Order: sequence, then structure tokens, then C-alpha cells
Amino acid sequence: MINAIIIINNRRYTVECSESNTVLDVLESIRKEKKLSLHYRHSCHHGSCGTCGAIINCIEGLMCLTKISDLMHERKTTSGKDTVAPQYENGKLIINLEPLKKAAYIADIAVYPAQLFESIPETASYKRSIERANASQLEPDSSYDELYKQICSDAAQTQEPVPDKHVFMKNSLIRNKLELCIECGLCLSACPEEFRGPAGLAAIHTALAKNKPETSTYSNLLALAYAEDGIAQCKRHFACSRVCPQGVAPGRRIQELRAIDSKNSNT
Amino acid sequence: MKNNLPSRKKLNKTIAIIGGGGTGCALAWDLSLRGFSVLVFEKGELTSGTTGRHHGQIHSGARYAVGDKNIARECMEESILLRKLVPEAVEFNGGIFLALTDEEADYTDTFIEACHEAGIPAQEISIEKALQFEPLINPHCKRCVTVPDGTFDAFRVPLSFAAGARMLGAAFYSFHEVVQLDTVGNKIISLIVTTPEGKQQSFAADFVINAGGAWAKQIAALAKVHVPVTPAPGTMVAVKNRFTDKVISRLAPPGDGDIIVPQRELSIIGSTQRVTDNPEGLLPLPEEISFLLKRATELIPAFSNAPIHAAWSAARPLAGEGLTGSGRSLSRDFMIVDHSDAGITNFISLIGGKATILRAMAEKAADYASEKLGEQTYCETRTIVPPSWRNYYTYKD
Repeated sequence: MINAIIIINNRRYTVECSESNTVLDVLESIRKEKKLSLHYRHSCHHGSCGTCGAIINCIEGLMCLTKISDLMHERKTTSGKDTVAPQYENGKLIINLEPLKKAAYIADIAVYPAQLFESIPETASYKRSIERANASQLEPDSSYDELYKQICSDAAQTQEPVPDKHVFMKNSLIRNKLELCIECGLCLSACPEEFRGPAGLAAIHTALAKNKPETSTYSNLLALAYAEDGIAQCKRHFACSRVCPQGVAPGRRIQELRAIDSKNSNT
Repeated sequence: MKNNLPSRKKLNKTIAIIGGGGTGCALAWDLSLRGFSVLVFEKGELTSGTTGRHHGQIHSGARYAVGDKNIARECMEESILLRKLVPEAVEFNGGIFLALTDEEADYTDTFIEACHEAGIPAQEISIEKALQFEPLINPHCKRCVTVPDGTFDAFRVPLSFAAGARMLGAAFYSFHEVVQLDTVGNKIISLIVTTPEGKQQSFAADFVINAGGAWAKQIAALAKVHVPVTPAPGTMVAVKNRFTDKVISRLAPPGDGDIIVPQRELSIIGSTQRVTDNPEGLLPLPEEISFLLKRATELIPAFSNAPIHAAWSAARPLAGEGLTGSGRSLSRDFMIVDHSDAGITNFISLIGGKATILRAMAEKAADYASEKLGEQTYCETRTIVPPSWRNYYTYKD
């Protein structure tokens, strides 16, 4: 067991917790045991929803994936150069929690992430389709026949267009996957610059790959990347990539957007 | 499918929803489309109770087909609707049920028959074919059945409904906890709410809907009425590897540790079930984690070799009371409790239910509330596509 002091907004909570607890677990028990109102965003508790970001001992992280044991070691800051050493007070580990930056403040560490969601273009899809490696060997099973029939009969009732059967069956062999980015806003908070920001530009980068260059969606997305608040403002700190819990590497994606930019201006 | 939000006829009635989980968000969308003025109160962020911690399976209903055909049928209908309504937050890759023991192999025919009776196109496929789709499932399984299961983002589906409601004028008060329900005669006339700044604020409403899920009992108690709900925590473990694209389930009556759900680069084994009286601050027990990993290995042998990413617990809101043990005997059905019988005529509580049928639960509750308020309305949530969840945060009132 570890004794810790959680500091939020100058309020201090002394707790006993296990090294394997996450910071979010500890906040949940404070709320339960001490019956205190304590404001923080949380939802999935496993790093999928992106709501529970905070600045945890000076470094942006998801509270549901940051264990108490992680905070007992020296950690690299978002600059990649300095380190933060664990601090103790009378043998108690200090856990200082601050709200993410570039979001409207609500209370304690709860924020309203409007800026983050505004930075992601509406045409940036959250999903991708991946062809299976062995697609040629596969054929849809007959359950998809039945499913197709049901969808057609539903469509007839609501006068919607009926999907083409061949396309429907072919699509049933494609794997659908949600994109890696969980829209948590850690990158936006960690970036010292003021502009559209890493999450939005990474979303543009991902979306460009899904749209053909001759489409208006593609050129509109590219225009957003080249706009005044776009890639030109990135100063290559790479704090975004260091804090990203999903390995999206927004910093690298911004550099790749620059490559498209220079290719276009050369031609 | 329509995705524009035409202006609605406005009914001069305000409905307050307590609870911003899946049901509360879907209900706000449904009632806003019907023209009601809607207020939603949630003590934390939206979906911070049970909804967001869901493993994300969209049930075809196959899991329930033998036990309860009505629920199974409803799951099938709703899963098809969700694919159309929130395509961006749904991975629809299907599911496979695996029979691992002789007993489970014998059960397969009963299972398939029940699925067909419930309108679920379950289909037995050869083990060889199942392995072509999902090479990492247990190759020693005895029989395999495919069903149209899928997965969804348990945060973004409800948020899409909330975004739609908001764009139609619904007011969402997250981090606002309802602490008091003031009654005059047989009606609730106002809700007293603690704001994030710690102040008390009063809101008037014509009708109040308790969508508190596992917290419904505490909310109902504010009006001195009772709802029979039992919080039944379940633990889930996510490991760092996406072993399959399809949901992998055990071909047996619903039990513990019998579903593996893929989610991005993770695989999640769910779940356990116990009962409790306090749904707050649940943490997984170490023995639940080791049990789940052992069970997962039976379905996907490599599962427990992958590093653990996270373990967490969520409280199902089971309808019913007086239980001990696992509570699996309780139905997953959804119920509306009208508190008129207890002397309050403008207050209902919603209990039970499942994430897959969130839209249908909202439809039934909204039908009921409309009728109680003497308004002729109809449900439009089957056909109108809500906006992106991102609009929930970007929309300016």
C-alpha cells in the first residue's frame, strides 16, 4: 500500500492506495469513501473514450491508464529533455492534478473540450475499412443473405434506397475499425503553440488518405492544413507525439502534411 | 435516411431527464424530435456511470435467444438500426459463437433454432471456415456459429444522440447533480441542482424522467418513492492485442467470462457479475481478473500472453430486488415504473435494459411520457440520423 496526497486546485486529499491502482481509481474511491463532490471527466476507464485526460505531475496523461507505480519513477517531460522526479511529503507520494489546457474550465479538473472538437474537420471519418489479406479465399456466409433481406424489408418500409446486394456481400468481408485517435486532447494541451493543433492536423492527415486527390473534400482538407492556423505554426516540439496514448504520432503526420505542401508548390 | 434537422413544432412542455447515460441521451434526442423542451441533468460527464464502461458489444440478440426471444428480437432490430443511425461509431464485423465442450456442442442446435425463431440469421460454419476469418480462435472448438454481432463506441453513440438533442434546443447540464425534488400535492414542481461551482439552482419541469440506471433508486428516493433496481457490477479486462475482428462468444447460456470484444488495438474479455447496493467507485477484484483471463484463453489461446491494458468494473442496472449471488437470474428487460401509484403523477423511472437497445428504450419511455402529458406525438428516431458526437461539444446554444 502507498500513502499519497492528491492535490487538485489547492485542495489536498490524503489517500491510501495500491501501486497498481490508476489515478482514476483513486479519484473514484475518494468520491465514494469521502462522499465529496470532485469534478473530473471519465467514461470508459480503459483508454478508449478519451475523456479522462489531465496534467498529472506536470505531464499530460489519461488518468485511467496512469498507474500510481508509474508516478513513483522519474519521468520525461513533454519537452523530451527534462525529467520530473517523484516528490514525497512525510513519506507520502504527491500527485498533483491539473485540468488540460486549451479547454474551457468547469471545476476541479473537469473541462469542456470545445476547442479540440472544433479543430477536427467534420469530413474526418472516425472509421477505416481494411481489406482482409486472405479476402480472395473468403466468401460471406449465408447469415449475410438473411441480413440483407431484413435490411431490404426495413428500407422498403421507410422508403430508403436499398443497398446493392453484390456490394453488401463484398463489404461483409471487409474489416471495419475505429481510428486510433480517441480525441482525448492530450496533444493539444501539451503543444506550446496556439493554432489548429496536433489532433486536428493528424485527423486531416488521416482523412486525406481516405479521399481521392481530385475530390473537393480532399482539397478542402488540404486547404485547412495550409491555412494560417495550420501546419506552418508547428514548431516541431513533438510534445504531441510524446503524450499521445494511442501512438497516433501527430508530430510525424504534420511533417508528412508539409511534404505534400512542398510537393504541390514545386509543381 | 434523413440527416438534416428540420425545425420542429414546439410543444409548450418541459421534460427533465435525470441521468446522462445511454438512455438519458437517447431519450433527450427522441423527446426533442417530438417537440418537447428537454433538460438533462448529469452529476458527472455524460456516460460517466455505466454506459461508457460497456465493453462495446452490439448484440445481435443471439446471446439471449434461448432465454428470452423478445429481448433477442429487439436486439436484432436495434443492431440493424444502429448501423444506419451512427455508422461512424460502429464496427460491424459480425460474431462467432464457439462450442468448446461436448455439452456446448449438443446445445448448438437449440441455440441456432432459438436464434432463427427470434429473427437472428445464425448460421453454422465449419471450423476451417471460422479459422479463415479468425485464425486465432481456439482450433479445438467443436462447433462454430456466425451471428451478426458488432461493436460500438460506448461514448460516441450516446453523445451523437445528445448532439442531436442539443441542436434541437435541449439543454444539457453535465456536472450538475440533482439533490432535491420539490413536490406540491401530487406533482414534482422543481428540481434543485448543485452546480459545478457548488451553488444550488432550481429548475421547473412539467414532467420528470429518472434515467439514473444503477443510480435510479437513489434518485427516486429524492421524491420519497421506490424503484426496484439492483446494481450488478461486472468486471472487464482489456489486453493489448486485437486478436479478432469478430466478437467471439461461448456457445452456452449467458455466464461469466464468455465474450471477447475487439476494440481498436485491444481485445476485451467480459464479464463477471455480482450484486451490490452502491454503484459508486467500483474497482475490479484481483480474483475476477485472473478468472477472466483464464476463461478468455479458452476462446482465444493467446489471449493471456498479451499484456494487460486495463481492468475496470461497471454496474448493470438490473430490474428487480432481493437478490444474492450473481443476479444472472434477473431479466435484462427494460421497465417503466410509473410513480402515480405512489402518489406522484408526473414522475417515471426507467430501469433495466441494455446498451444495444438504448434507442428502443427511449422510444418506449417517450411514448409513455407523451401520453401522460396528453400530447399526440410520434417517434422519429428510427429514420433521422443524428449529427456527429463532435457537435455535442462544438454546438453553441
